[in-house]
Amino acid sequence: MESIENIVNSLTVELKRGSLVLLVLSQLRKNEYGYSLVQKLEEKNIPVEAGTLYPLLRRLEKQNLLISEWDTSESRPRKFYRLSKEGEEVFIKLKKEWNSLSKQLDSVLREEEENEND
Amino acid sequence: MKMIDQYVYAVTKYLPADSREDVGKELRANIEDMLPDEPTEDEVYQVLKKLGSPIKLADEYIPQKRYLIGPGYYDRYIMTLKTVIGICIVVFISLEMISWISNPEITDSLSGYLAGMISGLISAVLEGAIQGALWVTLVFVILEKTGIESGDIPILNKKWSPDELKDMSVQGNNRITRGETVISLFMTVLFTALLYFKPHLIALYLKGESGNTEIFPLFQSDRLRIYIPVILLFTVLQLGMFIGKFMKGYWNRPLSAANAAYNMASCILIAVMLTDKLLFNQEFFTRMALYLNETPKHYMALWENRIIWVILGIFVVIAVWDSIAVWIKGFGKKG
Repeated sequence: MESIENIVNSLTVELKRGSLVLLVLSQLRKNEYGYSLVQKLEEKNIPVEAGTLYPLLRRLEKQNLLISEWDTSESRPRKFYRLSKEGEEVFIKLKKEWNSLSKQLDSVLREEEENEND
Repeated sequence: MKMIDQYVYAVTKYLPADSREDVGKELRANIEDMLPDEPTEDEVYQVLKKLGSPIKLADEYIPQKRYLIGPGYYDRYIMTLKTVIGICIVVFISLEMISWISNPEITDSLSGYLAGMISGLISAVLEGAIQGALWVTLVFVILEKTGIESGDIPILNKKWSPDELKDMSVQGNNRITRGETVISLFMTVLFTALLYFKPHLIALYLKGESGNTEIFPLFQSDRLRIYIPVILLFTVLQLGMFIGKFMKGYWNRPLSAANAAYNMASCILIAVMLTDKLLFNQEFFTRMALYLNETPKHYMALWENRIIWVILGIFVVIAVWDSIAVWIKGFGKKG
């Protein structure tokens, strides 16, 4: 038998994975490079594993949602990402979906809470 | 820096060749970003530890999951694999035994005789297992890639509909028994293996004047070779149907239709082969005629005008009978 804790952990991972794309898109109106994004999210108390984020950036780039550019002005080359036009569009639509989903979920959960308190 | 090289290599070697350089460059830049200028060995160590297993990281970089046979088919694949490999091994061992009995290798000692037989049997088992595994895997890969079984077939733009549930009345007489499928596949494998590996075993065995057994094969092996690819194709089709029957467990419309088409195609193949004079060994008929106290000429005429058509007739009758019976099961009343 799986422990309750394990089940909760794996379900939480799934929940977070679903929202990760939205999170990443939301941060890329400005140029960011991989590690700066990791740090930025960490500062916002949303730690994301670097090993998850880097491949995700690449996938989104392949889907034409992000544009990338190598910056070679400093001693180390860095790859910058930002939203493409399509990415912008996807982000806006996805945000809408998220808002309505979280509203629905919120109201269902609140209803349930009220019932419990009765 | 050597550790970073090793890490990048360990990740990229699992990726498709065309993206290796690109991902490697990107990954290296990301790792270097996570490190201060002039990093110590320990700092590199900690960063790589944080990034985790290279195989897992590579897995994240690969867009689609790549597998031959996915979880949906895995259990049935293993089950079918066991059955088919079992059948193939039995067939190959039988053929090996038959050819051994009909034409034993002449060796001086008993141990040499046994060694020859044992090595023959071992290679027969291996050959059977390999052939069985190869073809079953091929059919399952096709199932996996096309998604035929789910009812959703992306290539044909077809979506599953509840109509397909009508096929599912298993309690009726359209059930396919395990034994029936196993026996039919066994016969197919036996027949194919016989034609493919040991066609000379289908022969007239006569006691010669010197007391030795003289063997006159039925087929001209050069000519038979032309038919082998077609026969193999038929076997693979039969195997595909076998797997379909094995998994469904009852005759549905596609299976009954496939069965009818297969029967028809087999009859055509048999007709072509029977009427191909070059396929048969004249010596076989001459000897057969002598054995039956007929003149060879008369016997040949009998073969060409009668026997061929009788054989063909039998095949056609069986094929039609089977197709109709199965058709009724597949397309008949649905409860």
